[in-house]
Amino acid sequence: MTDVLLPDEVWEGVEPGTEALVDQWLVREGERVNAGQTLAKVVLVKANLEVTAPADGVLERILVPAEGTFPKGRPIATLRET
Amino acid sequence: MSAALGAIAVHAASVQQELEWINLVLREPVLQPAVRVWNYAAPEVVLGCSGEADGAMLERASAAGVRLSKRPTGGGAVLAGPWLLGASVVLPARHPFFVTGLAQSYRWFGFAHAAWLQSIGIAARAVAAAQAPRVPALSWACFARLSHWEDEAGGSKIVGLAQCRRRNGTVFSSAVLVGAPPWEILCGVLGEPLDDAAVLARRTTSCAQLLARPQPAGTLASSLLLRLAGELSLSH
Repeated sequence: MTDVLLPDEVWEGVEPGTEALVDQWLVREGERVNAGQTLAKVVLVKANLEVTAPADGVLERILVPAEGTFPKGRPIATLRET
Repeated sequence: MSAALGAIAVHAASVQQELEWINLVLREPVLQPAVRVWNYAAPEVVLGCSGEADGAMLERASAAGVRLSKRPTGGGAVLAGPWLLGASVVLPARHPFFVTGLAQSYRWFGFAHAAWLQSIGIAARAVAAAQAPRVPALSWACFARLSHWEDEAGGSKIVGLAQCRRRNGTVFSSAVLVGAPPWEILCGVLGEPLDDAAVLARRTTSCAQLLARPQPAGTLASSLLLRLAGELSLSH
């Protein structure tokens, strides 16, 4: 199982305790995805960002739903690589 | 697509025109930077990408005669209109100005706006978030407080920044207060307390308030365009 994350580099300089917001999921649980495919749009520090699939696989589970927030380092979904 | 690039000031613009242009340029990989400065003709409430307009909000906007839009960038709501200049800068995915870390990514944009404001006689500066005054948040309003490298003058916010990152490129957006907005319209449409209008007025300033000889918004739009185009080495 592979975690789907907003990369740590993006969070550089962001105040500790700040959370990002999942704006929109573009795929559903169980859907097959390709490496680099945009899975979700998230908002952090007034920026709207794409979260992409780290590998080919199936989106196993969404851990943070749309409108949910998450801190640095927390996966927003898991991917079963194929 | 080439007609969509370059550097142009769009006068009597609408937020819809701005959003359509951003969608157009991000539809394909961005190969070179482009700039637009928007001089808005009429009042429009613009929600951040995570803002949602419910039926009641739509009714209040309609009653106030104000259009309601949602932009692709994050942050709180903005009241566009003749008192505001918008700027959109589109960068290719691997442009030298692109910095992965979000906090620092705004630095060049905030500095460019500060340099422009200084050039027209306003002692503005871009403020690192750590130096920004701690004020109670009105998180629904973009202009309620300073975020990373936004600009202040005399202790009050004058420029708000945001961005939208896509695989095809990044759009940096700014909103510059050239006049004092009727904040009560924003509060009313969003269903927020009207007392917050006074708070927003206290926390913000504008070119008109700070310039000894106020300049027309069109003149300010042209000089902002010149500055941003210069930063990106664009002809216009």
